[in-house]
Amino acid sequence: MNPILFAIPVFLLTILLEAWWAHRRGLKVYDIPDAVTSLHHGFLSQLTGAFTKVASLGIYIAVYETYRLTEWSMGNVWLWVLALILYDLCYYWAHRMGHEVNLLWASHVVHHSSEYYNLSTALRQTSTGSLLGWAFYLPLAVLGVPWQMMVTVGLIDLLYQYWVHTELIGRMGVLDRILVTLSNHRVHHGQNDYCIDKNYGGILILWDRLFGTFEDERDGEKIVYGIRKPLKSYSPIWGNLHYYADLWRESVAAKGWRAKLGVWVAPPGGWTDEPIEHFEPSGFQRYTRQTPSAMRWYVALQHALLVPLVVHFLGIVKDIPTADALVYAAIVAVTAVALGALLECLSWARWLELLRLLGVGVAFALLPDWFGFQAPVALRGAVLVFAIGSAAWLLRRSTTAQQVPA
Amino acid sequence: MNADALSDLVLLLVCAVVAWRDLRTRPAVAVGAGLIGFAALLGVVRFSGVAMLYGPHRFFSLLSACAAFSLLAAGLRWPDAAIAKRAAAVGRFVVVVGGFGVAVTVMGGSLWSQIVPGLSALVIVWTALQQRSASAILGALLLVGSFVVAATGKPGTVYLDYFNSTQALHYLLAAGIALLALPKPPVRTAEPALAV
Repeated sequence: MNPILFAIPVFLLTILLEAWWAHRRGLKVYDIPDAVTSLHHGFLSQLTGAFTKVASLGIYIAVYETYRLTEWSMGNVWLWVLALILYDLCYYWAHRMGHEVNLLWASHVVHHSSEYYNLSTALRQTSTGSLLGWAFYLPLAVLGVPWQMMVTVGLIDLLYQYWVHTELIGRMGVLDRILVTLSNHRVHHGQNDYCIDKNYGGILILWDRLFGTFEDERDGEKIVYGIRKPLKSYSPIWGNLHYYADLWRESVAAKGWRAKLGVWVAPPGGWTDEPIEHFEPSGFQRYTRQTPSAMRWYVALQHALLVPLVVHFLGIVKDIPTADALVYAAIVAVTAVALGALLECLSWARWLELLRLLGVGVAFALLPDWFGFQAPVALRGAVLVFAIGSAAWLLRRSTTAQQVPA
Repeated sequence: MNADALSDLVLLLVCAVVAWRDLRTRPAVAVGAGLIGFAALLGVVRFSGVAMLYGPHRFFSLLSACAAFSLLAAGLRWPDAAIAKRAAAVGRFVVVVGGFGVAVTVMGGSLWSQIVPGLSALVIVWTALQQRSASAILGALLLVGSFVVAATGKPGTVYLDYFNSTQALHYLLAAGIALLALPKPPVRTAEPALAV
């Protein structure tokens, strides 16, 4: 069973709690389109992970079986602690290279593309991370860390990093010196000059202190979140591919095969010893499309209904044929794209959404089973009625952006 | 210490000298030699009776085959490129190219770990021929010889009535790297810096 399945309800509840708390305090830390986009990225990441993790884990297991130094006992608690520390060290370097190598940044940039910093940002994960990220953990296989131990400590490392994505809690005293805390990680997500390429740690901030990448949060300078070249899109597909597209264009334009290859392994700013370009936080404006309020809530509602589908997919993906899993994943992906396009007020968004609503509604109601799930007749009817109702509402609505000053 | 360990010790010493000397000036050559040297270090311990290092020795030998020789080739062929001069570029080359090579090999493409060093050797030979340096040409040929031994050597094969295939591989590699990397590189005319 995928442990993320159990974490999803916790994620959603804590996001709602954070949003409510921020609202009570009058803080603008949430934006529905941004949060929904973050969650769509999270969904796509889980979908692609379901297909690619087997391959990357397979490489780990193959290296472990062939080249391991020794075999770590799963029953020794100290070995678990050591495995977690070593995993965190590997994570530090994987994460650091994720920022310092174009090819890896193209994947990791997804996580930094939100201009808000809240718990939903933690779930804005890449769908292409399995391409190379596994290479950094192979030393654990050579040392003899069993794959079950590696996966478990990896999950601990990942889940730990969820809670540090919030602006609502300040500094944490001595913990800020040892662990990756909210304060430390806010710096990591900032695009202010002093924040660039800092605080890469997963659980321990000690690695940053050791390798010279630590930076303390500055009280006098408000952190602006996001990336220097803003994504300006609510599409989870484009969010995953935009930097690859940039690199491709750059690579095509480069002269000579070495320069073309070099584009992919150079740092995001290129091979230069010059300081990074100055960023002025006071002039920054967050991306917004002025999506009509009703449309925002429509998208939020449709998104909420997507959650059970994703949970169901993750629960059954191992037990259904790959072709069926691909179709199911495509349905979720199309939903995320359609909802993102509605938020962006794109001209074709309404037609894609209508197609999706009617397609999914009719398929759910009429097919003998929904990827193995035998829905009761009442539920089938309810889904069909909801889909038709949504389609009717959508046909009466304008999908163009409101003319409201930013 | 047996004869296999001794041969790995010789390789280790040569690689350590190259890595130490070139770390600041030619990081690609230094790291390439360093990777091979680390594999040799594990080999010395392994062949001296520490059997548990069998796996790690093979792993770092594989990583060297997939990344170190291409690093040496890049460092010798394009000494002004970022890949040859910048330690950060060298590090990411090891992770990306080495990781890819390990993955391909463990997933069944074992030929990869022979093709990459073979192509690297050809680049080195070509560079040596262009430089018209006798030591570089001899070093490159010894490197090619070591790959031929690695690719074709079988248990029980004896070279020059004395060396088994493991020892022959190590000595040929050590001699090749020494002749290629230890003499001062020829002074090159200024070239525009390239992105790689």
